[in-house]
Amino acid sequence: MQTNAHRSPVDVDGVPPEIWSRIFSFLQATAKLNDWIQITYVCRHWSEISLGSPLLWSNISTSNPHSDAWIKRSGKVPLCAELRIDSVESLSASCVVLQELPRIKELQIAVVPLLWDKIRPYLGVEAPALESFTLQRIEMYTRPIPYVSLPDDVFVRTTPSLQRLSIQDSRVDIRSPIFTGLTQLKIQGLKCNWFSPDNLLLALQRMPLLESFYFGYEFFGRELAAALFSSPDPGMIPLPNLIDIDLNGNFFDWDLYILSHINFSSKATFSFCSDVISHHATSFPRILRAYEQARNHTPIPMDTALENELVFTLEVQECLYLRLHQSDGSREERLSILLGGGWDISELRPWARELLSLPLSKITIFETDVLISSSVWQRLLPAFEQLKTLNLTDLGATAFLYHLNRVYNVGPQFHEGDEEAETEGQPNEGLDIEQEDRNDTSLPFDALAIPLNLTTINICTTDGVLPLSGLEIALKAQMLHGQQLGRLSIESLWCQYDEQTALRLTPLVHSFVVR
Amino acid sequence: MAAPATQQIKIRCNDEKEFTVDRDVLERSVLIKNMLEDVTEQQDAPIPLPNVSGPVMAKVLEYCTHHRGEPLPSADTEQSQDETRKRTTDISEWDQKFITVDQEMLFEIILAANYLDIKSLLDVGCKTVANMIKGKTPEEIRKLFNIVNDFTPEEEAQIKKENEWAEDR
Repeated sequence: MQTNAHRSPVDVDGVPPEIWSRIFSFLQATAKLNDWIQITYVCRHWSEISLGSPLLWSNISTSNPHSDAWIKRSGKVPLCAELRIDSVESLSASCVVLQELPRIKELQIAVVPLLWDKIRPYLGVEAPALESFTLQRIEMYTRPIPYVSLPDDVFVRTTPSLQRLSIQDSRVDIRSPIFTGLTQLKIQGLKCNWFSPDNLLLALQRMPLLESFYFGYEFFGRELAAALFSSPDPGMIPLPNLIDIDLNGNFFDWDLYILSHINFSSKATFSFCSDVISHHATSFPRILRAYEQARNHTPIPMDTALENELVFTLEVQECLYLRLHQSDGSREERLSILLGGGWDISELRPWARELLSLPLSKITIFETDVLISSSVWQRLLPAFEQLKTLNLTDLGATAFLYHLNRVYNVGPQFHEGDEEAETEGQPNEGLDIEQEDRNDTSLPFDALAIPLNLTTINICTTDGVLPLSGLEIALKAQMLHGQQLGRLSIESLWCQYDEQTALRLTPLVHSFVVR
Repeated sequence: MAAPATQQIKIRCNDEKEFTVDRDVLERSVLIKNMLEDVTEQQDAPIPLPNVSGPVMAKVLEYCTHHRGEPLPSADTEQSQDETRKRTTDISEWDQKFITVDQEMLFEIILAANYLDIKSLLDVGCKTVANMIKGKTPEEIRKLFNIVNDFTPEEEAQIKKENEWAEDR
């Protein structure tokens, strides 16, 4: 019957079985299951070829209730198994597949946490062929959300071939030996209380072959701060093969912290979804260098470019940040660095403390509404004395000036009713300012009466009363110190100020601009 | 300075058609490459290729000339070929134009590529056939390749039962 079947245009019977097998494997790889399995119905010859081609049956899914028949057809070839375990039926089918673990090459498990313990014993055997493993927790609408924990005994010392590991919403012991030979690591749903970032860095150190890693995480400030500072600084991690780095979370500082500890390839590509920033490794070279140097306790060379770019921003919620800006004229890039999570400088790492005492040439004060401990301010002040430019943005600068005043005892320029000012403020001799002129000092600019090397002060306010008399005190003080301000720029909206005082400021500064 | 002359090799097909071809073009064929490496002395006699006809060899040589100089797949590449095969049936634009031939020539090229051991050409042919099969019912496939359904009703029922779960997936 078969011999009469093949006539023009082509005698397909003359095509050897191995070529049909090759054709079917292409079909199997790219067509839907229901499409490619049609070949088994065409004729007896094709059926025999397809059923006798183990590679065609090497992709196994738990959606197949006949996975045992499928496994039989696959002979002894390496398997790729995709197991979704969310029911008793799928659990049963998965257990059949997992008995073949020694020849499974790629394994994907998505599991509801309640069934995870049923699967675990199957993963404790040797898996010499396993090259890729994905573990995913299937979402359950229960609170608290249970996590799947990848236990220490899974795959331990039994996965010599494992190169690709992807773990989603699953707790993992980052110190496990399964990480050692990885070239690709993907962890999603990482919680920072599972391990500290430093432990993560130490784990990366044990993955010298790593070419790409992805971390999807969600951290919260206090958690992160606690984790970040819970262990010694791990130093630099050499990962010369690393070319693809993708950090997708909500804490750009953590991204930077991780990156700043890695010696990566210059060909590396970063992606920081956490701050919607994506850059090539060649971006931010000076900033990264500066950051590394700061970490290594070496001073940042104040070359021209860097001098114009280094901006100190105090943006305090739970932590203290250093924000670095880089501008090439057409666009501005920013990096934030987490300095510390506490209120006291003793809680900062040594390198963070070093950063605070860098000879900055330009400082921008944005929001300082939250109190910072006096010791932090004390530490910052030596840097302020080297300042050339001071940018005070909005009235959030009050706290900065307030603390400056406290530390230097410039007073008595505090507001009436300010108890601390009344007790701590001391008369500042040599300043000939009538107190009655100082009826608009909502901002204690007089704090700037300390010896500074400022050449420029830029003030930008959007609300309130601009206390020019305080500035007058400061500028006169600067003159007493032998330093006349080069430029004073005031940009204000809806801001009242005393024009008479403004006139008195004019001779105290080379250039006085009000916009 | 003139470039060194490329060695010319003669081949003879099963219809006595002869071709004189640059050695590097012919060496796209692992079979011919091995034959040339085994022959140490200069040989003027054409290499006989009893399994390939002149018209098919002309097509094969067109392919080899276009792809001359490209790296040949190593043993490792061939080992990982399963991986590649798994992932794509994409064919480059030039290859697609090249392989747009009638069905008889398509299978002749596949058989020739298999005999001459030109893996990349074999894959272009196999992917093309796979793309022809894709999405078709068994009856449409039979019609396409002029194949008769030789299953007994019992055999057909049995195999459908075994694969029942795969329907609509």
